Order: sequence, then structure tokens, then C-alpha cells
Amino acid sequence: MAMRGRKRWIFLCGVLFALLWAQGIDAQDVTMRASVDRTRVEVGDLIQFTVEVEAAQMGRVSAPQVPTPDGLQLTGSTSSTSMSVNIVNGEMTTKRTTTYHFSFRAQRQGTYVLGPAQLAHDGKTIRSDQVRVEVVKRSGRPQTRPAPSTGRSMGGSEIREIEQNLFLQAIPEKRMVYVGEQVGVTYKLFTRYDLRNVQYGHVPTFTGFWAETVFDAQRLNMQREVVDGRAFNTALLKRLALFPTTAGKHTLEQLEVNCEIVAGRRSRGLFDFDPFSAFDTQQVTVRSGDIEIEVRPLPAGAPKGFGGAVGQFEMRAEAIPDQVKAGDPVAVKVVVQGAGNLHAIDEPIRPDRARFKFYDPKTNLETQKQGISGKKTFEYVAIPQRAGQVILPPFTLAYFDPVQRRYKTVQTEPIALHVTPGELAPQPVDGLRGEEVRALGSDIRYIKPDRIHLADQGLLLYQRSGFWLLQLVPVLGVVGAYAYRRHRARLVGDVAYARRRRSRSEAQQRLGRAKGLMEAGDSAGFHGEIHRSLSQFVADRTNLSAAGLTADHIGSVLVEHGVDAQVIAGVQDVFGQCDQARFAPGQISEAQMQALFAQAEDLIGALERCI
Amino acid sequence: MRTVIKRLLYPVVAIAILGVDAVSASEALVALYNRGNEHYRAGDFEAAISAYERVVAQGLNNGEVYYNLGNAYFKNAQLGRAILSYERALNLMPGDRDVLANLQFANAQKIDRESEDDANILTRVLQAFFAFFTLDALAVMVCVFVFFIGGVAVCWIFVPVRRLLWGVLLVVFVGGLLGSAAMLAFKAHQHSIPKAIILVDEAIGRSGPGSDFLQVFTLHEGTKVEIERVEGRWLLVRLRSGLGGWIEARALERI
Repeated sequence: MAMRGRKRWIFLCGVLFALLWAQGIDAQDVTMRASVDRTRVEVGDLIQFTVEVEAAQMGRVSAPQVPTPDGLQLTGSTSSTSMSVNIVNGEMTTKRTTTYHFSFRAQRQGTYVLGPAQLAHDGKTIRSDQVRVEVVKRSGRPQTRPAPSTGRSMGGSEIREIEQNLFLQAIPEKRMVYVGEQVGVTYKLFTRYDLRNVQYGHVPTFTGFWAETVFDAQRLNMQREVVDGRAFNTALLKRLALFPTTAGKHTLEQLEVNCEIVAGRRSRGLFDFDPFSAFDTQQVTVRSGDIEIEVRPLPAGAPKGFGGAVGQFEMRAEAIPDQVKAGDPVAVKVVVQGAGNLHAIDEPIRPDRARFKFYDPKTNLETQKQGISGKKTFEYVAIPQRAGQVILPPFTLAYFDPVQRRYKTVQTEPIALHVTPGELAPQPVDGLRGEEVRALGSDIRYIKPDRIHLADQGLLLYQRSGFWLLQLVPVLGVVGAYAYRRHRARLVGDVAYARRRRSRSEAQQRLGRAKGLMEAGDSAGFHGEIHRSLSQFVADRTNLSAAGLTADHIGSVLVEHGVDAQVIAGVQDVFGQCDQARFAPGQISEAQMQALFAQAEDLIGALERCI
Repeated sequence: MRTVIKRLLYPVVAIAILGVDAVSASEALVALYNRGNEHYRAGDFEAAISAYERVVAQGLNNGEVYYNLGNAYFKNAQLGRAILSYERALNLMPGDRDVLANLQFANAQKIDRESEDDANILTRVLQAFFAFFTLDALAVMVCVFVFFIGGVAVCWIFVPVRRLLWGVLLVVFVGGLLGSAAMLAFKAHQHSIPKAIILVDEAIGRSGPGSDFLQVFTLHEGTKVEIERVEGRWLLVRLRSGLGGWIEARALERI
């Protein structure tokens, strides 16, 4: 068992060794060769590094790895495989060749070593040889630099021939511009060959410029053009509008186009004829030349509100609707039209926002592809703050005209709006300047009319003495009303007061009656009435009974009340006269009666003052 | 006693109600005013100004004259004087819509921006309510309440059966009287504070009465200020915002 096991071990080891040996032979069969299309290039050029891997056996061979030296950039790789079978004396050998193309772009000048390419095959590492490449400074050189493809080496004369028949031109509109001024650059391909697989290699990034692509060819549209007496097929590749953003000398990067020349079209003579050469193509890289553009800074003295617009512009404004309620929105459209860097155009200066409330605009840019003209639309929402015939003042845009080399300012036409009063209470407006009054269109109210009469309004109501005197009226009224009520109350409750208050008018009534009797000639009646009026008056005033008032008594009563002695004497005299006339009737003249009447009247008046 | 009341009452009522003491302008002044209007219509604002100013110089205080004068000044681009005239017109014709509108319009043209008070709604409503009553309206209100109170008092005296009703009415009217009288007193006080309008393009407010003092603020034509103190030819003025400073008297004119 153990013996058998050892034999088996030996057998296995032998098989393994044999296998390894065989593998080693296989690995030896793989060979690698490295080459480069040219050993001296300029900065920016492409280097084609080609690795050919030849294997004797059918089988998988992995792709070689190529280190990228610092200073070069790997831009891509392709591979192709070909197979050859040889049968010699009934023994067949196969050979497979795989070609790898690595493209490197030279970024910095210096000497570089490409390779070795490495390949792992059956556990072994296979290395190719190394290639030395020199990268030199870019020199002023022809516009084209065809790079011949691998597989066929080209001589200097051949390159020159290609350069004369295939080139790429960059044509700038002008070489001296202002910052922000538009400069158009056209890229055009000139060829006398039949081209295939035309592709952009390196597309420049325009540092220092804002680039706007106006035209970019999707397919070659060939046109006939005669240059220096030779007919060319030309194709417009690109058209760009560049807007310099900074001043100074700028060099535009080169555009690179890779294409294949169908070499078969070139007749090489009768004996060189090869039916398969029709398919033979030559890889060529064409580059445009350097273009230097001098960018000048904008002159000093930019007007207020200048925002970097360079070109020729027009501006107009419209408002919809032109009749609106105060507080309702109006759509105001301001269109800037012209040729220039429209994207760099800021919003035009809005009119003073005192009469209108503006919201930030919606901006829309439309450019036309012929050149870089177009229009930029600013759509505002404006809300009139005040009713009336209102003028929407002009919008202002300042720009630099590079043709006339000076700054210009355009304004929109003022727009008349009819604003009817809305629900929104008008806000008091502040901060307007005097000179804008007329432009804004609303005005002060008109003067007051002519007058026939003008009152002096110098004093306010409260400043007049009459006003305050008037306030006394109700006070006095209340006082009067109160007094009247007291009087009425005493008349009812106080007999003495009531008699006293009535005394005068009752005496007056009696006197009146006496006068009537006198006129009627009733002497007795007259005297009786006079007597009664006087005695009743005294009784009322003193709150006594008139019946008890005899002539003697009345005297003492009147003395008690402090009546003047003369008046008492008068009263007693009148009483005496009356008694005499009543009880000793005789002819009493009317004159006597009148005298008595007057005396009684006077006495009543005198008594009223005393008692 | 009644005769006394009659003797007092009739002239008082006549004076107060009919405004007999308001002197009427002579025909010559009215003619001058109308001539000013003619000049204004013809667009000769300077001639209109001189005509109106002569009417004013004769001592006639009439709001319409000041209003038209303000218009003429405004059209003649003398903003400060226009505002001054409008303010004077407003004092004489408080609440006149034309005057208010033109004063607001003219104020909108001036440079100085009156800082809007950050008042809340309540104070704003109160301010509007307060502004609604002119001094004359308040005076009439006071008068009406006094008469109502008198009437109710008389009713109290003579109609003893409705004492409750009269009592309630009395309380209401006394309240109204106190309120309107307080407002009248307050407004009259405010009215009595001397105010002025800046007439020069630019007036410098200083921290003291003299040009050596520190500059505190700058006022421009048309701004309204209150005069707090007078010291020689310097005035201490106060803005609505409370900011105060001394300004030379020739820079402004009292309303």
C-alpha cells in the first residue's frame, strides 16, 4: 500500500515536471516588439507606440501593460490580430500576431522612455524593448502636421506632399478685439484626398474666452474651392463665437482632426499595381495653426449702469394691458436686440420704483445662428401704485459699441398707462426727486376758482370768544329753568309768595277796570275799584286780609313794613278821597278822577319797591 | 332777569353761529386774487405768485388763496414754499381734499423721507380716528354736547317722571363732552406748537446754536419741523422722528 503510494507520488511529480517544461517552451514562443511612429515630437503632438505580440501557439495571450511616463498622457489604445498558417512537409505551424497601438499625447518637453510593455503569459513575464522619445518645444510651423499611421513609414517628402494637399485652417474674424466683443472663428478643412473616418482629436478649450458654438458639422459637406490655382474640397467644420473675458494676448488652442487618407487613389505607376491597395489607408492627424488674439480692455468712462454689454443693441418695451386697476399687475416686456454678448447683458436699469412696484424679471435669451445676434427678453411684473394717467418711465441700457469705440446708452420709449382706482389703498409715495415730476405724468390738483367774496378764515372756531360765550347759553338756560320751577312751586305751596307774585298784576287789572269805569262815568264804581286795588295790593304784599284793612290799620301795617311816611300819607289820602266819593256823593270831575288814578298807580309802584 | 339773558344771548348766538366776526375781504383783494388766478391759467406762475402774496400780505387769511399760492409755487419749482403754502391752507381749511392731495403730492417730491412710524394697527387706527376730527369739528362737538347736557338738565327739572332716562342721557352726554373737550384740548395744544418748513436746498442741523457746533443732520427743502426753542437767529427744531438740532432761522419759515 505504502509502496504503491510512493510510486504514485513519483509518477505525479514526473507528469508535473513534464508539463512545466512544456509550458516553459510555450512561453519562449511568445515574442514582443515595441516601436514608435517617430522619436521626436513637439508638445501637444500624439505619439503612436506600437507593440507587436507574436505567439506560436493558438491560445489566449493577455494584452500588454504599458507604463505611462510622467509628462505624457495616454489617450487611447486599439488592437488588431492577424494569423498566419504555414504547412511545411506536412507539418503545420501557426503564428498569431496581435498589434496594440497606444496613443500618447506629449504634454511637456523632455526625453521620455516608453516601455517596456509587459505581458504575463503562463506565469512568466515577458518584456518588450524600450523606445526613447524626445519632446521638444512647439515651434512656428506649418498649419498641418500629418501623422502617418503605423504600418507604413513615411519619408519627409511624403509628409510635405500631404501637407500641401490636406490642411486645416482656423480663420478668425479679427485679431484685435475689446473685452466682451464678439470674435468669430471658423475652422475649415481643405483636402485634395479622399478622406475617411474624419474625427475630432483634440477640441480646444478656449481659456480666457466665453465660447458659443454657432455651427458644428455633423457630416462633411464638401465644396469645391480653388486655392492658389489648385482645386480643393473644403468642408466647414466649426464656427464659434468667442467673447474674451480678460484683456491681454490670448492664443487659441489648436483643433486636431484625425482622418484616414485612402492611399489607393494615388497612382504609383503600373508595376506597383496591387488590387488590395484600394483598401490601404493612411492615418493622418491634421491640426490648425496657432491664432493669437489681442484683447484690449474697455476704455475708461463707462456710464452708470454699464454691466459689460459689448456690441450694438436696440431696446424696446411694451406693457400689457395699458388699462389696469391700481394694484393689479401689468406685464412689462423689455426686449434687447442686437449683435453682441447677449448673455452678458444684465437687466436694464429699471425706472424709479416709486410709482410702480417691480418684481424681478423672467429672462429669456434667443440667439440666431448666423453670427451671434439675437434678442434677450426681460419680462417684468409691475404693479402701479397709484391711480391716474401714469407714465411708465424708460428702461435704460448702457453698452460699449466696439465699432465706434465708445459707450452708448439706449432707452425705451415711455409707456402711458391708464390706472383706474383699485381696491388697494394707494400708498403714500416717498423718495421721488423734483425733476421727475413732469416725466411721471401725474400732476397736482388745479387751483380753486375765482371768487366774488373771500372770507378771512384766520381764527378757528375754538379760538373765537363768541364760541365760548355761546357755551353759556345752556348754562343760563338750566339756571333759568331751575328758577322758574322754584317759582312755580312756591306759587303752589307758599300762599304769601303766590299773593305777593300776583299782587302787581291783580292791582294792574283793577286799575284797568277802574279806568274803564272812569271812562264810563261811574264815579262810585271807579273809586271803589281804586280803593280795592290799593287795599288788595297792600294786603297781598303783606299777606293780610283786605277786608280788615281800614285806613287806620293800613297806616300802622305800612309803618311796620318801614314804608316811607310820604307814601303812607299818600295811601291814606287816596283812601280818604275814595271814602269821601263813595259815601258823600257829589259831582267829581273827570280830571280829579284821573289825578286820583295816576296817584294810585304811582303809589302801587312805590309800594312795590318797599314791601 | 330775562332781559339780561336776551341782551347777552342774541349777540353770542349771532357771533358764534353766523361767524359774523370773520372779516370779509375788500373787493380790491378779491380782485387781486382773481387776477392771480388769471396769471396762473395763462401759465405765468411768477406773476400769480406775486398777486397771491400781495393778497396774503394785506392780512387776509384764506385757505383758497394759500392753496392757489402753493400751486403756483409748485409749478414754479419752489417746492419748499409750495409745501409751506399748502400747510398754511390746510390750517385754514382742515380736511380740504384738494389741499391734502397736493400737499401729499408735493411731499412726495421732496428729498427727505419721513420715517414711517412702525406703529401697530391699533395706534394707526387711533391716529386715523384722531386725524378725522378737525379742530372745528371738535369745537362743534363740544358745543353740541354742552347744549344736549343743558337740554337734558332742563328736562330733568321739568319732567320729573323720567329721571332715569334723563340721568342716563346726562351721563352719556357728559362723557361725550369730556372726550371731545379732551381731544380738542390736545389738538389745540398740538396746533399751537410752532411748525416750520425748510426753504433752502440744504439746511444743516447742529448740536448747538452756532455754526461751530457739531453737525447732527442735514435737512432738505420741503421738510416739516417743529420749533422748540429760539435762541437769537438759531432755532431748535425737532423732526417727527424725535431727532432735534439747531438750524439757522433763515433756512426755514413758520407755517
